Amino acid sequence: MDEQIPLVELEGGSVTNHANEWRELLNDQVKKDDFHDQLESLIDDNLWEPSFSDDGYLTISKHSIVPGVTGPTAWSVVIRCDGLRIEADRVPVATDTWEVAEHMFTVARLLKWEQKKVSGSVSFQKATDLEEILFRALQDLRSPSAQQLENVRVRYLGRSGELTQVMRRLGQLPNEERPLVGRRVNEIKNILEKRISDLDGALKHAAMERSLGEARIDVTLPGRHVPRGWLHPVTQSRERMLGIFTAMGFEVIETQDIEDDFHNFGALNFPPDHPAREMQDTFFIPGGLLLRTHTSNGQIRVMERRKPPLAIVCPGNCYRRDELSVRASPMFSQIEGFMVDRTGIITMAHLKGVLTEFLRALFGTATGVRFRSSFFPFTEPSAEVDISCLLCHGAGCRVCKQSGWTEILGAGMIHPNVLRAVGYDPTQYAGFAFGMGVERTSLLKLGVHDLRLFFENDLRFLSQFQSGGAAS
Amino acid sequence: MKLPLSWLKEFVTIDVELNELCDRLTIAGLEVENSEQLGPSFTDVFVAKVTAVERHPNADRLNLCAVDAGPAGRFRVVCGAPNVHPGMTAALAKIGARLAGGVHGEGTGSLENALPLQAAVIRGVPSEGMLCSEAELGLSKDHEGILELDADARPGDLLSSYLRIPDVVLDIAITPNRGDCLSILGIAREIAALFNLKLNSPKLPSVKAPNQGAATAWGLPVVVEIFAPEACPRYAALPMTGIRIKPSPVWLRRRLELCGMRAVNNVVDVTNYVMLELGQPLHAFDATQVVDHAIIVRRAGVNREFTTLDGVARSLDPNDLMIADRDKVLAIAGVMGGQNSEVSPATTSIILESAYFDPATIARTARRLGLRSEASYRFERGIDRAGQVNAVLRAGALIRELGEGRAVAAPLDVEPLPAPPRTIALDLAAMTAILGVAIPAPEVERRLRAIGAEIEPAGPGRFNVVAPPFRPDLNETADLAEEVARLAGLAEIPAVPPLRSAVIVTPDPAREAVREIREILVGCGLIEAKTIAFVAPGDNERFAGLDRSEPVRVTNPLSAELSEMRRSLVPGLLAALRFNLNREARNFHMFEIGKTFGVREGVAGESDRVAVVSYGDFAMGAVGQPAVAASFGTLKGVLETIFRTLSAHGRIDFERIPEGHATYLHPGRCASIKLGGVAVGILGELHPAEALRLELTSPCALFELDMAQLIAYGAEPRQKVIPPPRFPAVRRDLALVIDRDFPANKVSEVIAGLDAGLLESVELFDVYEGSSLPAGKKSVAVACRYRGKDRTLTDDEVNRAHAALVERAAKQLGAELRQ
Repeated sequence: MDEQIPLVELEGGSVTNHANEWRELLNDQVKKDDFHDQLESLIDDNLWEPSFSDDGYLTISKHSIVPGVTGPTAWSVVIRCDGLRIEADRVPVATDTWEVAEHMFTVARLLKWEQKKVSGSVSFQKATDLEEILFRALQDLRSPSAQQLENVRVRYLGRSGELTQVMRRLGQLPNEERPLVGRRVNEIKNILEKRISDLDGALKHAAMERSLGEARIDVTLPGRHVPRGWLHPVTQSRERMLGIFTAMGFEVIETQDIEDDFHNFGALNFPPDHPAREMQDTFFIPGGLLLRTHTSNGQIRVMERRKPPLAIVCPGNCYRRDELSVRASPMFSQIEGFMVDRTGIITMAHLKGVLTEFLRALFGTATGVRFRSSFFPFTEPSAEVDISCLLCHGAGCRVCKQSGWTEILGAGMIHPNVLRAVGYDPTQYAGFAFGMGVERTSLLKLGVHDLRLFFENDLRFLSQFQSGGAAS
Repeated sequence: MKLPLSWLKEFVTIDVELNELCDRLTIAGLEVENSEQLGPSFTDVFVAKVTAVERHPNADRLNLCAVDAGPAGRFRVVCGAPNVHPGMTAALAKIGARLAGGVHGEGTGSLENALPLQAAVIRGVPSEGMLCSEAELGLSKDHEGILELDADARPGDLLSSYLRIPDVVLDIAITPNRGDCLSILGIAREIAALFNLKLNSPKLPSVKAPNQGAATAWGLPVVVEIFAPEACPRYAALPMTGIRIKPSPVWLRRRLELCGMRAVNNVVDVTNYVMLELGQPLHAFDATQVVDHAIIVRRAGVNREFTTLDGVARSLDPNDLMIADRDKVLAIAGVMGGQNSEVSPATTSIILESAYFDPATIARTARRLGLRSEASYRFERGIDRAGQVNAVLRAGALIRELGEGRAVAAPLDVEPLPAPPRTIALDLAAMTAILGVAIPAPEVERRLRAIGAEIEPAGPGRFNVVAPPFRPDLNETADLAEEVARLAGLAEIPAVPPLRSAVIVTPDPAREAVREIREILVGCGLIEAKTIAFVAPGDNERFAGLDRSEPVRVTNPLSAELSEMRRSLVPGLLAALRFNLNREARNFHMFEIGKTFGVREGVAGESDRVAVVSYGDFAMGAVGQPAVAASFGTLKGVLETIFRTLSAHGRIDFERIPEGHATYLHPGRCASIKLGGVAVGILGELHPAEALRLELTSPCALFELDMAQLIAYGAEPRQKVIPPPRFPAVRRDLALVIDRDFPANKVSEVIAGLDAGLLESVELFDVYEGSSLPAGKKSVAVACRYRGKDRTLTDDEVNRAHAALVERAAKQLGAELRQ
């Protein structure tokens, strides 16, 4: 209905004096909106008859058609206002009378709203059959049902509808009236078609709105289950750790669980009967074999078949003769790592560099890292690596036994005897090695204290690792 | 090892805070696991001499004692202890004293809760104090009599200062390479080196020890004969006489107890005391039990059994090293002495043994016998190679100081296999190459001297370093580098990222494949499990695994239930299922990727497997809607997803499992999975009998696949990419009535094989059995899709092609067309 905003048409009529004032008013957005609203409400119930009260205000009353008058006739609609004269005199039939009247009325309202006195009169002089048809049709179209809508369409616009019949009779009219009436019939057809289409749209829209309400669901019900599993927290941890090492250029190689004495002990500088062997209580299997007690066999397996430079991490399961308990398991997993190159290229400083970076990547950049001397048969010098206690951040608590530190891994420079065992000349090659328990590291990271949780497969525990975030 | 700080302070003047001491020791590789503060367990207790004892006038069992506490005063106290006697030095609690052990041993052990001693009148006689037992003083549980102090205790001194209270007991974890630190002297040496302090060794008489015994008052000289010099390269012996066996003095007993050892008698206690102090284990033989005073060190040989002093008969290995006399075995060298020559209350003369035994020899014997003693623990780790004579002299001096015996001759020192000095050529550049930082030469020299090494310059940046005899672990540059770095707590070494040439790391394709398969399984709704690889033999029998190899048996299992390595991942997953069902779970869909073990061709080996156990609702319905229960079909769907995702060309078959295989599966609902004709795994629902055994109430589906085969399949070339078809397909359905047992997928295969030129695909979409069909028959419906490569097919040509296909298919399959 935007195109029915009257300013232009009013200007086309004989609007005197105050056109600029109106334009100003209408340019004001607030007033314009108000104007629109009023227009729409007028169109919606378009049976009105404007009249003015004694005190000069415009009021609305029903307008009446004068029956029996046929043929195109000019009419005039006049609204007289105090100090302002709006005159739509002899508006041609081609202009929708109703609309003009609406404009008039609205302007008058606007002026009243502007606290200006409005007075005057509106008079309808003649109505034609054609206009009567339009009037009735519009009357029939007051809040119709879908069926009524269809009936109206058939009655007025159908093959034997009233407008169609007017068109059929067109030939009977005088020559000069024919184009005028023909045009008006088409105009009315357009008006009705548009109105029916609008109403049809509105009805459908209303029906849809109703159906929306009926199709309402309880949005708090659970969704349809889409199956997706997740990885074990130890796998998540292990992959995270390996990811850091691969980002540092380490290659991942897995080696065997069933080992011989040489690869698990002898080549790693554990002499037979040496007390160091008791640090790891071993499971033996027939045939002189054993279950590896650490992933350090990876050092030997890889170095036996490859030459430096090497940067390798070996993840895998290890076995020690411990009952499953809060702190120990007969099977657990480790990651062994080592880097070997020509003498002088890899030093203990690089071991410190790699492990410090690794631990900060895993536990956070604020993590304190401490190296302290220790003993492993296969490294010399050897070190235990501690991180600042994750619970108290170094202040000292029950978990770290007040030391502020938590032991996290063992490391050192590869012992010359290990290099000799794999046929490397220790004056030519040197390297470092380190090893850490994956479960132990995960426990620290998760802040839980029972190793058994990792092997029980209790879904109530495991289901906390669906996001992967908890373990990583 | 437990070490009282007061004892350490006799060897080195420690003037740092306890925390710093512990931290520095820990960082230097001597991890202080605990430091126990020994607070006083009593107040106002003095050393006092009992000058007179007379019977209490009104009580038979009580005595009235005159007690002289020197500057602290003289007192008259009533005492009920049977051992009180004139001249004894005792502990006197003055009125107001508080005792952790309480007045009559009823105390809580805490000084704070102890009430002060009240002046009392006992049976009409006032008592001005109390003579205390060890229990009352909170020193031990001993409440037999009052504490008798030794002559060196001065009346009037506070008992606490005499007993060196307060004190701290450090508990240090000694790594197996540091046998030298299993002593007060060793730790004191470390402290001196760490803090640049002077080490005070105990003063010993300088004695020239001969290697042949002189005649003694006993007649025959003591002789030492060594027949196994490689196992016993040095043996020192000290004959002593005038021995009176009795309890050791309080201070000595207290030190042993603080170190975690039990006091026995003065001679045994002295040998232990010297072992704790110097690290050299000693043994005392009752000299009268040693035939001809001959100490013979030899292998056990024909001796098969020997009764150690704990009364246990030990069976011997011919290679065990023994101490014997001319007639009999006296001791298992370095491990434990024998009952036959044990020091007893009647002993009056002894032979003290101080020997160096080969670590491996002692370790072997001790391990085989399961007999670990403080002595064997030290021998195994390597004691001071040169400390034997000093230790025996120190023990002799202590026994003499206690006034309980004297040496009858100089100690014997027999060394059939002298140890040459171990000289290490140290190149500072090589040390720098290890540590990644250059330590200045003078500092290197200082630190190595501090740990007892001798150093000679040997050119620029080079030294000859003689390792101290108590450090068998120092043999090459790396060892010296560790010492130098260790004494500064590794702090000088910077943390430097390694500069490496650009080495391209190619990911291991097998690992990548495992990762992919893991992700597919997760995507199918399965949760990863981890189970322990040890199983009970029954589980291996029931779930024989894919290749039916012999189980790998553990020689020394934790228990019978964990005595074999799993042949299959299935029993572990089923145990996890049962575990969860016992804990509220109703659905269980888990997978595991792990190793299984088996003996193949006589060799124990391992293979990677993936297995799934699926139980309960697999695809759950919405609220109020039915779920899809786990079944053969759901897991077959998972397998098909795996194969589809791997997208390889290879042919996949699901075949019936021959009878007698995988008997734990439902015989009508199991299949062998073949990739390219090779059996790679099994799929099925658990046999109802197994389900009953596990108390399952609904079907349990599972599969197990060989990872290597699956990876090989996944490594096959991926299917080629083709553009989408340009012309529409036309579908014609076909339903055939065939025998019930005829495999449905064979129908579509056969039809697909009847090349009709335009036929693009054949897809099974319905199988029907029912009353409208003859008994024993089923209807199989397939959708045939026709498509032209270069044109849109007309109805006519599709109808012609389909009619021909239908006819040939029915003929080929011997099937009726279903109307």
